[in-house]
Amino acid sequence: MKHKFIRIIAFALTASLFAACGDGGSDQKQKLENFEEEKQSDKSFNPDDVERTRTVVFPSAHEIMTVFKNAGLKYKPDVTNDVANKSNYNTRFQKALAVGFYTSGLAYHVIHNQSAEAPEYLKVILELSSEIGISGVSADDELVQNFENSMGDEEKMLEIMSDIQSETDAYIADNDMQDWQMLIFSGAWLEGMYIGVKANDSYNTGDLSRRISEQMSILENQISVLESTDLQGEDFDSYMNSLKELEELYNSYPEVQNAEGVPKLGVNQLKEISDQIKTLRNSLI
Amino acid sequence: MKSLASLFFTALLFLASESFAQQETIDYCEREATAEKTKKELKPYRYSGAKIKKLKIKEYNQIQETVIEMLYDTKYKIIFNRSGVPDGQTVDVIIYDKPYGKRNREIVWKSTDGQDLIELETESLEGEYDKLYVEYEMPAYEKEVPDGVRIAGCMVMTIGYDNMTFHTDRGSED
Repeated sequence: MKHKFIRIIAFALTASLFAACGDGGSDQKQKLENFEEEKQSDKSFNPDDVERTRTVVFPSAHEIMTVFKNAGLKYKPDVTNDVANKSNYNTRFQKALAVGFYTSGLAYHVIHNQSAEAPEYLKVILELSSEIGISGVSADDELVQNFENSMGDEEKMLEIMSDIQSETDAYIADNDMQDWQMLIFSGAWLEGMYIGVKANDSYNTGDLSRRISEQMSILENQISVLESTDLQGEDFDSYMNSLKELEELYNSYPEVQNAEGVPKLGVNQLKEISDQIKTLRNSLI
Repeated sequence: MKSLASLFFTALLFLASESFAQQETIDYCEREATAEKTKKELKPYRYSGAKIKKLKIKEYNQIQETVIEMLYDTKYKIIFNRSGVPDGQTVDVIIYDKPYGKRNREIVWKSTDGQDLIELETESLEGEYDKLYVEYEMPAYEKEVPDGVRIAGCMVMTIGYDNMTFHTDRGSED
């Protein structure tokens, strides 16, 4: 009985091996095209009766910095997160946020033609990205060399930054790392806002303030996408609570509730928003 | 008898893993080439970002929605690349002014002709928007798929912005 049972198992294993080594590797596309028979199906497309998925595309860090600059953002030294702080980031959560911080810092330096610091920022971004598993571009890539050789040429540097971002986007899609990409964006957004409000310390209510207000309207979708990720942990929960508090504060203003287009905030409101952004950012660097 | 049972379950596990191994995926998506080609078409707009949506063939209708957050007073060029869509699958690109479920939602742009590369410059739209709601409408896949074969592909959307555009007279109550 025992021998018979073992023979059955041996036969099953052999059969399965043959099945696996069969024509599975042949050109399945051709095989598929040969299936002429099409199933009869209902061609009507009822939008209420479909499977739906949703994602959001946010503006890039250099796009945000560019509109800030066009709105009057001036260059201030020492406003961005120092590259020496890199050693402060130990967890994957902290590193992902830091990649975002440094991405905005890099964009800020480049669009203000302060390129001396830019290569160091890029290097830290690539190192931290690699440490969290995003290695679309490595620190010894030709693109990085080209970036260093382009110092002083804002257009060229922005073009290379775009190339690096494009390769990173492709890597993230290939490796299903969108959750981490979202956290990086969030860090870039927060640092961008921090730079914007630091540069607007006099709380003037002109174009730059309007841009800050505009960025606040992105926060709602940012929170909803972050909530839909699989990210978790104490750090993440605490960060989410802070973002929600910031959103609640912004949404509590009548100017926001009644606005059509970008709300125009008063000096006190700008100060409240700015203080909350500074506190949050400084607690994370 | 105990060792026989253990051998039996090991064999079952092996058979199960073999049947998974036989599942073959035909992926029509060549992400890097597609993304690179699409990016080249952006000029003179500057690259802002790309969204590579993986498509899975299903026997029922699907809609994939992507919200594009846009900045005021900035012109955008949006390029959709359908070259990674599996044969036999159509993907219509329809852009709305509001999210699904909102009242008075209107189509602001659509492309249903099946071309591989399609471009939209937001300047050509009639209204002005801070968000666009892009929907990929994918009807149920009608071809017969052989057992053990899974079909996949992708849609690539690349966005560029015109950083020279800036006006101060829009989008505010003053």
